[in-house]
Amino acid sequence: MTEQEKPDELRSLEDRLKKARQTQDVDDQVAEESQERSQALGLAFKMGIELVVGTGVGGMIGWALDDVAGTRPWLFLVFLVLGFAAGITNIVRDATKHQSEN
Amino acid sequence: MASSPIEQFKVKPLAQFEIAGIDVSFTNSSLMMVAVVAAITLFMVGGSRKSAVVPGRWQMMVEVFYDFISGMLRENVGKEGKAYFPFVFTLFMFILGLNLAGMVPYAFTSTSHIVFNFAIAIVIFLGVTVIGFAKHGFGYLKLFAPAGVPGWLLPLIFAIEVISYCTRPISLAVRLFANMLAGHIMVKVFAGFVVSLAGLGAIGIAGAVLPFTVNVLLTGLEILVACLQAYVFTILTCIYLNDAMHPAH
Repeated sequence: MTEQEKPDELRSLEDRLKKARQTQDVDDQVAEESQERSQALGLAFKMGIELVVGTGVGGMIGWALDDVAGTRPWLFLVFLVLGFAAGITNIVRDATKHQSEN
Repeated sequence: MASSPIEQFKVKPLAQFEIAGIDVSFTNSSLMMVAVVAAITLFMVGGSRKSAVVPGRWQMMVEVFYDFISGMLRENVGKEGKAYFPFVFTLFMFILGLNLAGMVPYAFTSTSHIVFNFAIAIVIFLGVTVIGFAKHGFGYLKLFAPAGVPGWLLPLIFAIEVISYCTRPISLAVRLFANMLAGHIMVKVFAGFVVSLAGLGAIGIAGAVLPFTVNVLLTGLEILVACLQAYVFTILTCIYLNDAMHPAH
């Protein structure tokens, strides 16, 4: 009696284990996807601010150098453009890094 | 009730102190920091008190944070990053704690003030610069001159790289501050809509359901942003540390 029931029990255990593993896999996948998505959101926040801050810092450095050299507004204008370039460089670097990761 | 949406960011001194003419009062912001540090200490010490081989629930939570940060350091900095684990871990827990504590009603959000963030960011910036020069000497300047750039472009690239290096502390500080500030203002504005609509009678109350729903969703979003910004702040610290360890890109 018990000899015959055992394989059945084992089989049902196997089935249940398989089912549990499948749902676990799906859960893992969902968790991974949502993590990727929030990382992308973080990247988007970062890039948006990078451009503004780059230009701002470039402008500030130029303004300060103008004070020293007495050449207002020329260094300010030059460094504003350089700051913008720095912002773009940062964004492009992040983007290429992110692309090579995936 | 109808206070302005930026009323919540007001720093109020709770106890006045002055040292050599400098105002060092204990403010509501300081109170939040002390509370958060106390909560983190309790959480960490309580969780690691037993150090069981098979962790219980509390120890499990502590280990999740530990694994998260140590994994982040390993991936972004490498083996040498291990030495900076205590700092990076403290940084993450502190910012995460302050961001999340700010979501508690009536609590103050220290990270919504740019001075606070900037103070942390400038410490990271100076620290990373010192580490870079200490490890590599003038070789650290290679960070500003990427390999494979033609000679005539070098001065321009050098200037751009130096500016981009100097933007680091500011972009770190501004990002966290802007996200926290904007989120908290948004929640407050929608809460204001609910109150003023509900004052208009039956139709108004029906209409107030809409901003109320938005506010519930926004609260969820803000909790996400709170965790995300703590993560972004920490991972950028790791990336800067990595640049200090391995300056040649």
